[in-house]
This record gives sequence, structure tokens and C-alpha cells, in this order.
Amino acid sequence: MTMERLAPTAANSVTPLIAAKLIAPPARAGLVARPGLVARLGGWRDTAVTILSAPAGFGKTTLLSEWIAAAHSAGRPAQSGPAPTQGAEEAAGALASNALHFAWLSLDAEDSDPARFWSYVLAAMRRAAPELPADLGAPLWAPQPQIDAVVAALANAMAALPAAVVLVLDDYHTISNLELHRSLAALIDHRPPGLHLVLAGRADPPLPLARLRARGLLQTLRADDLRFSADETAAFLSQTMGLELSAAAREALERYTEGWPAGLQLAALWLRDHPEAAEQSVTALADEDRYLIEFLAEEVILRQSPEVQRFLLDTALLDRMCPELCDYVTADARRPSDEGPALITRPSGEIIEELERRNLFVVPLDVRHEWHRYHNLFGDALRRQLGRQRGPHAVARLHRRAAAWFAAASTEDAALLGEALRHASAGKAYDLGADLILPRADQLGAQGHIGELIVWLSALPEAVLSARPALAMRYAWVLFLHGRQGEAARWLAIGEAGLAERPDPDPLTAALPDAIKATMATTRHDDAATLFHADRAAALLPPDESVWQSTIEIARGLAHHVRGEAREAATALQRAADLAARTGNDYGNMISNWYLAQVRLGQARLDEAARALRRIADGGNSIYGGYRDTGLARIAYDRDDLPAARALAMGGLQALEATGGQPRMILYAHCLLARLARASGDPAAALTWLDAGEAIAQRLDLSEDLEIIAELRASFAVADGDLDEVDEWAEAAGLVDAEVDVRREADLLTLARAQASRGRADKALRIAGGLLAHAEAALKRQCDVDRHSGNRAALADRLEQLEAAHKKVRSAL
Amino acid sequence: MEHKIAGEAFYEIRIEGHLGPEWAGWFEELTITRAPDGTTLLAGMVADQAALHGHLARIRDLAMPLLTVAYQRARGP
Repeated sequence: MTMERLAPTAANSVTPLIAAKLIAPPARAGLVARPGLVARLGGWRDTAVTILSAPAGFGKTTLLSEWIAAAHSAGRPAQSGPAPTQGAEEAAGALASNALHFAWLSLDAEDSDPARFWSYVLAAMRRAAPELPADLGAPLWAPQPQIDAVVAALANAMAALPAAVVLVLDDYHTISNLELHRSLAALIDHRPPGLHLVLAGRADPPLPLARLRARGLLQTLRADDLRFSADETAAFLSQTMGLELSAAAREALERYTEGWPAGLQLAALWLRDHPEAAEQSVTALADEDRYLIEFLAEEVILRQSPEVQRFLLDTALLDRMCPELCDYVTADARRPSDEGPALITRPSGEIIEELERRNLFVVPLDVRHEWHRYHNLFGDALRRQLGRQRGPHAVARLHRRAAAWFAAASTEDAALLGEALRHASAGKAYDLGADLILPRADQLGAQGHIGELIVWLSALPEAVLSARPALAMRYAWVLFLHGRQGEAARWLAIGEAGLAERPDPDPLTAALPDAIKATMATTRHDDAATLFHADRAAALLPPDESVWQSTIEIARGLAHHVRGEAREAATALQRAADLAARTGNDYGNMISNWYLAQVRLGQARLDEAARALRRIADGGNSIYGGYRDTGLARIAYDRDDLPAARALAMGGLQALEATGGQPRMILYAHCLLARLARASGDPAAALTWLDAGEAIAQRLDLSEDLEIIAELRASFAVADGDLDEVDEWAEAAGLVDAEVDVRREADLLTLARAQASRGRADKALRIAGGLLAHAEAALKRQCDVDRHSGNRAALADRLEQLEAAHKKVRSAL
Repeated sequence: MEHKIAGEAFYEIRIEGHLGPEWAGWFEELTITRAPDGTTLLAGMVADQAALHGHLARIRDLAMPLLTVAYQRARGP
């Protein structure tokens, strides 16, 4: 019975990405077309980098949307009949190589972290070019992310692609991290042929672009380029804003705003409400002493109807808005008060539509116009007005309402909880944030949102976490799952101390320390401690089902497995799987069925192992599919169905890599593929897999996996008769003349084979004797437990065989 | 009062500390002078406000204390 080292699940997934940042804002109808500027952007093939650098309100993003829309409609090939047979392939090839894909990324200040930035860049690139390799982001999973490696990998991958990608980074001025600037400069230096970079922002990007500029590889559009010309101003005023002005008024407006699109729009809005004497109004504008934006925005806001004004101010704090959210946030204004009847009566959807129609700085975020946001400058003005008119308490209250709405909506989409928490923080309502996370934490973990939980909990002030032992311990739990043992231990201690001071009203909390300690003990392979804590936790857990029940049963199962007690292990893991299935705990379901399959494999019960794996998922590209297929690959390998094994292993590996995490499972897959390669007669490929796995394990500092890979290499060496290599490995692994520790069974068997090959029979036999003794003891224990089962006869037979073998070994020594 | 969004202008920026010559490529079109009082002067024509803020962002990201930013004149010498 070979006891494989199981691959514990240190989930190391990168934080989930907000999809909205990766979607280019849709082009809007009714705006002034700027074909000249679009044509300049279209000249990107002659340069490496395009920069759009101008203050807010110059229409950078709008122009980019226009360009992308134009490129997409131009790219559709005219198909008027069957393609000509001759040269059809070349034509298709030309189409493909001319195929232009846009990768879009809207940046904000939080993206100033290099690992996060590059995660987003890779996600954006993949949307544009799905054929990019799935493991480009691997260097980012490490505790110390290796940015240079990612940049180099991306550059190389782009060089291999036939298509061209334009990567647009919008609002680059929000990035303030020097290492990040350097890494982007490095990508630009690499200059992969199929990649063109567009950097749009309110300031020149702080990058060393002098060389590019000197070689004519840099294209820049600045404020002067983006200003409205006289013709564009005229078109904007009449077409977009529906204003009919005299030529004199128009010219005055042009002079006043100097072609600044946002200023022009504001001025036009203001003028629309002053239809009486346009010319005098414009002159009056020019006499105003205050800054244009400040004055006009305030004027425009104050001139709206009380209903619209209240709506604008109530929704000013939202980064994005949809009708339901706005209805909720404006609820106070929809009720009559001491001051009078309800201020807002129309549904928010209607008001938003009106704002959009009247060009009141409301911008759609998606093609279906479900979500909108305010243009930056106008939003800023609204927020200032809100603060001035209603004061900080109103602001905090609005943030809290937004937080509550997003929190409720997060049952459908966990990512929305992040927005809820941002609003809670913005309203300085950290307690609210903590109270939003706590009731959802277990379910979120069960759905695998470990990375998000870590981000959200670490954003809370330590005092807030410490005051909530239930939350502190869940923080410890997710930190532990992410391999951050030290911090996990610290927060567990804080949580326990808090509990000791004041018991939690929720009885479940009392069981958490032991439940967590039980799992922590499994990674040390400390079966005694695991069972001790598991039993205590089980005694403290309330009877109603929770995700923690399956956690405890999984720990129990692992402890029994370490002891060689396969039946008990299987029972506990099956119980865990059933519990998980009943409570919608997908993550627990995956872990318990995975380990159950490993136990069945150890018992050579392959069908049952396969059945357990199939309970994880229906297959497919998720983390669940990855575990399932990798497990099924191993079974196929055991059944000697090498083609099926390879297909499953490759599929599983790709699914795992796509999740951006699960390094230990990925290494398991690498080892399996190495074994498969050897079994298929390709030892060179086997070593390639091992080398790749070793590189990952070294980068991520996974010592146990490095040992596993080393042992696998040694076992290959034994088979090849390369015994010197094995000797080296045995020395390095500290196995020579070591005590027979059954937890290193695989290593020891390899060493025993090597010793036998070398003719060192005594050493080989000593190891064999030690392992047999342990197997005997385990089997004896099974027999005692199984006194009444029908298996007893079979077990007794096996025990006899083992005892005979052991006697032989002892006499040979 | 005319609201001007400034175009090309000559600016002088002074920062605390000496900026090494390796940074010249990051501050295009600015002349970098290391002064004996331990400060560095970056001076030159700046295309517009966005370009100026680009330079200021670089200085911010280098964490070198900003001492003065002085507008000297519009257009060149």
C-alpha cells in the first residue's frame, strides 16, 4: 500500500477582477464625430506607443470609444459569396494577421500595485487574444510576485501571436508606483511586434520615452489636438446640445471655453436655461471671476428642478448607478417630511434617461444602458455641492445606504460585496463593513471566494477586527488557506483571546478555534493533534448544519489517512462530502471528494475513486473541473489508459492554471504528467515536466513539493540504473540510515530499490522491514475493528501474507 | 477675466536632493542641474499643463521632496 503524500489545498488564487474595468465604454450617439483624430489614432501601426495626455474633460475616453467602434465596423469583411478557392488560405491568414483586437483597462488608484496591475493587463489581453497561454500569470501567484518574469513572458507570448493587439490603459495618471512604471517601461523596451500601447491620462505618463520619441515611434495627442475646432464647436452646440445660437454668441463661447469640450458642454447646459438673451449671457459668463467649472457646474446644478437636483446630489457618491440602486439611495427623498411632500417622485430609471437625453454628464457604462456614471468633473462638482448643501452626516448616510444595497445584491454576485465595503469605508463606517462581511463570510468561503475575503478583511482597521472574535477567526482561516501561516496564527490567537474575554452570542464561534487548529494540524501530518481538536470542535458545534462540520470531518479523514486507517478515513470524508453537498458548500465538496478519491486509490478501489471525483463537478473549465480531471487522469494512469490519462491531465492543468492559483495541485499535475511521459516512453519529456514543476515550486518556496519532485527524479534514476544520482538525492534528503518513518514511504521505497540494485541488501531489507512492520500493525488494527464484518476473512489472509513476508525479511537480515 | 488653460511655457522645478544623470531619459526636454546647496533644478519648456503634471508625477513617484514650481514665461527664450 503506497501512501502518497496528499496535496493539501493552499489556495493561492489572485483576487478576482472587476469585469467592468475591462470593458471599453460604448460609443455614444449624438456626439460630434472626430474623424481626423480617429484617423491619427488609426496610424498606430507606424508607432509603438500612443499617448493621449490632456486634463479632464477633453474627451480622451470618448475619442477612444469612437476609434474602437470605427475599427470594429471597418474590420468586418465584406462577404458576398463563397470565398475564392485559390488563395483562400492566404486571404484568411492575411485577415487574421490584420485582425485588430482591443484590450481595454480602466485604471484607478488601487491599481498602483504591480501584481494587481499586471493581473488586470493579462486579463484584458486575454479578452482580446484568448489564445494567449493560460499560465502567463504564474509568476504573480508567489508571495513575492515576480513582475519582470511576467513582462518577459507577455512580450514573448505576443511575439508568437499572428494577431495585433492594441492595449488601452485609460486614466494612467492614477498610477503612482515606480516599480510599476519601470515594468511598463520594460514591456515597451521589449517592443513585441504585435502589441501597441495606448496610454490615456490627465498627465504625461512618467515613463522614459525619450528614445522612442527620438526614433519616431511615439505618437502623442495633447490638449491642443483635442480641443474642439470652430466647426466642431458649432456642430456640438447645435447637434449634440440642440442649441441654436447666433454666430457672435458661438464665437464668444468658443473664446470663453477655448474649445475645452467639458467647459463647452457645461456652458451650453447653462445657456439652455437662459434662452432669453444668449449673447448677453455669454458676455456675462466671460466676466465671471471664478473658475469656469466651479461656477458653471454649480449654476447648472442649482438650475435644475428640485427633484432632479435632489436626485443628482443623492447619487453623487456612487461610482456607478443603476435604477434599483438609485431608488434605494434616494429613498429618504421619496418620503414626505416635515419640510413638505416627497422631493423625488419619478422612478430613478426615468430620471437617469432624462439626464442622459439632456446631456447632463451622465454616461452609459454598457451597451444595454443598465448602468451609468457621472463624468468625473461633473461628479466632483456634485460631490462638492452635496457636502456644502447637506453636510457630512448626509454624506455618511448616503454611503451607508449604498453599502447596504450592494451588500444585499452580493448574494447574486459576490464581487458586489467589495463595492459595499468601499462605500462603508468611504463613509468611515468600518463597523458596518465588518457587520456586512460576517454573516456572509462562511458562504463566501464555501463558494471559493477566499482571495476576496482576504482583501476585504485586511481593509478593515485591526481594532474593528479584534473587537469581533468571530470575524478575526474567519480572517485567520482564510489567511491559513492562502498559506500565510504566521498571520493566521496571530489572528487565531487574537480571536481566541477575545472569546475568552467575552463569549460570542453565536454558539458556532466557540467551535472555531478547534476547527481551525484541526485543519492546521493536518498540514503538519500531526494525526493526534488533528483528532484531538476535531473531537473538541465537533462537541462544541451546534447541531444545525454549517460549513464547519464538513471542515472538521475532512480533517478527521486526513488524520486517519496518515495513520493508514483507510476505512475510517473514507467514512469521515464521505460524511464530509455529504454535509458539503447538503449545505451548498462547493469548495468543501471538492476538497472532501478529492481526498476521498485519494484514499480509494490507496485501497486500489479505482471505480469508487472515480465516482468520488465525478461528484466534484460536471467537468469544465473551473477550479472544480481542474481537480476532477486531474484526479481522473491519475485513475486512468493506474488503469494503464495512457492516452486518456494524458488528455485528462492536460485538461485539468489548463483549468487549474486558468484559476490563477492552486499551485500545489498544479505541481501534482506536473508530476503526473512526468510519470505519464515516462510510461509512454518519453523520458526527456518527463524531465521537462519535472523541471517546470521544480521552477514553480522554487519560486513559490514550496519545500514539500520540492521534496516530492526530487523523489520522483530519484525513482526515475533508479529505473535508469543511475544510482549515483540516487545516492546524491538520498544524502540531500537525509534518508541514509534514517529511522523508518512511514510518512516518507514513497521516498523510502525508492531508496530501498536503489540499495537493492547496488547490492546493499541489508540497507534495503532494513527499510523494507520497517515498512512491513508498520503495514502489519495497521492491518492488525483493522482486523480488531472489523471483528464482525465479512471482510474479516480477507483481512486475516492479507495479515498472514504480511507476517510471512516480514519473517522472511527478518531472517535475511 | 480670461480663463486660460496654459499652453507651452517655461517652468523651473526645484527638488530636494540630487537627481542622478540616469534619470535624464525620464524628464525629457528638461535640463537637470545639480546645485551646490544639495538641491536639483529641472528647467525647460513644457508643452502644456498635462506635460507639467507628468513631470510632477515622476518627482512624486521618486519620493523626492518638491520645493518650488515656478512659471517663468510663455513661449521660448
